[in-house]
Amino acid sequence: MAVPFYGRASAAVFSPLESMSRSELVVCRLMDAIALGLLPDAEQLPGEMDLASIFGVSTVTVREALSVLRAEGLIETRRGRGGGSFVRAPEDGVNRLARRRLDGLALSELRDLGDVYAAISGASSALAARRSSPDDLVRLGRVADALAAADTADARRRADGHFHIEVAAAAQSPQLYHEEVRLQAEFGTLLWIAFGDDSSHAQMVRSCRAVVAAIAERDPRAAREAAEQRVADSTARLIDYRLNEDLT
Amino acid sequence: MSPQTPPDVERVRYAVEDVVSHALDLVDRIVAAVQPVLAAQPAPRRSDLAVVEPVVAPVLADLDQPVQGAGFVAAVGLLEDARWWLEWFARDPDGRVQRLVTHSEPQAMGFYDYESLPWYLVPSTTGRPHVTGPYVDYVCTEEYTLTFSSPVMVGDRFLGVAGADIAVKSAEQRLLPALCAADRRLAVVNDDGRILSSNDGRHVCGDLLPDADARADAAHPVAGVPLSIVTLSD
Repeated sequence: MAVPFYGRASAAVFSPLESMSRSELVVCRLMDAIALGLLPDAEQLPGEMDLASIFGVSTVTVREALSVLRAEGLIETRRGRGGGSFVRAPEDGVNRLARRRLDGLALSELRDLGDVYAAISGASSALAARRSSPDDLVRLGRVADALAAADTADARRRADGHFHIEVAAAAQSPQLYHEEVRLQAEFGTLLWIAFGDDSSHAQMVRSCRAVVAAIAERDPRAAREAAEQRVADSTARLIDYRLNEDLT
Repeated sequence: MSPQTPPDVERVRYAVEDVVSHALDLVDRIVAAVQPVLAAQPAPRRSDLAVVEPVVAPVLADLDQPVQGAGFVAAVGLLEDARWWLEWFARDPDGRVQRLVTHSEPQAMGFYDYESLPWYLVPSTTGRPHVTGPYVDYVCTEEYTLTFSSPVMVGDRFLGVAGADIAVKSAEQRLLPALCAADRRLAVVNDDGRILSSNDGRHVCGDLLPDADARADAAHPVAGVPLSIVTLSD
């Protein structure tokens, strides 16, 4: 077995799982990633053994999950040399798959997830304002620039995930970092359903700059507030998306 | 270093030097293994880096020493068959040595451009060994880590870095006895003024040194690395 090496936004895809049937969870996690374009079309998935060790499940569970994804037409498995499982992006994009999971959650549950995510994100930003070195600030600025420059929906989602992870790392807290990754997997992937178009992107770039500016000014209170507001905006956008969906 | 360093501070410095030398000794041996191969090979490939594993694997397998990951990271564009490459090995939670799996295609999921990260960037620009951290190593171990890295040069040409990781908790274990035995409040800090370890609950690991404590005259540098021991004011 090899040590897995999956950083950045993909950390959300390949972090350990919680409850539900294990194979359902693997299906769920990979489906989200495919639906959101985090796993792009034609991307090769890690091998069964690696997936099993990344998710902390048996290879039997992984095989079960892969066969569900195959039946959904989301992956294609080729045998032989250069073989493996490859992503097949769904033709109607995000909608069908991501909506299915979003529809399973009540608005009150979305709000609650938003509250927890705001708490973690706010605490990370406040600590980052106290603990960032000049190097950290340069890196945060660079990630903010990358978010501003991203011009496709999935590039914007990846950059947004990366920004949150950089802030958690700048807080110097492995525990907050792990919470961030867990919440990004559980809730960030839902938030990204309603994020990616130009207007949401402009809003997220603005709030990202506000967080970075407060961290650069070593103002923990302003950093916390900006980060909480950023998550609150995303949560509101997702709830609006869900409400509009119910109308149509 | 200076003759007037008090003995309790001197003992902390010995402890720091001991941790540093575990990492840098291995780093030096990786440099010594890789450098002649790259000097002799104008168009190196990943397979030429096979010299790294026999150097690092026995060290990583020894649980009595603190280095938990080590290897060689190729300069971007150096190798014929991978623009980015980490020939890196690490101890897994069961203490077994594993090769790190990385993607070398920029479009791939796990791809990781290390060119701007301090453990690569600083040695490549200064030509000297560097200590990165304490930092949350979110691209690899996901642990709170110190990374020691040195440039591999052939003539004036930078070919990559040799590196070694020590978990912050392992470093702390080795520093605390001397810190606790000291007669004054001390902190071991890096060049950013970030605290690696201290004997004061108000200035803990990961915090930046308060400005009032950042006076150079209160600092006892550790030779050869950007670390120093500072006396904390009351």
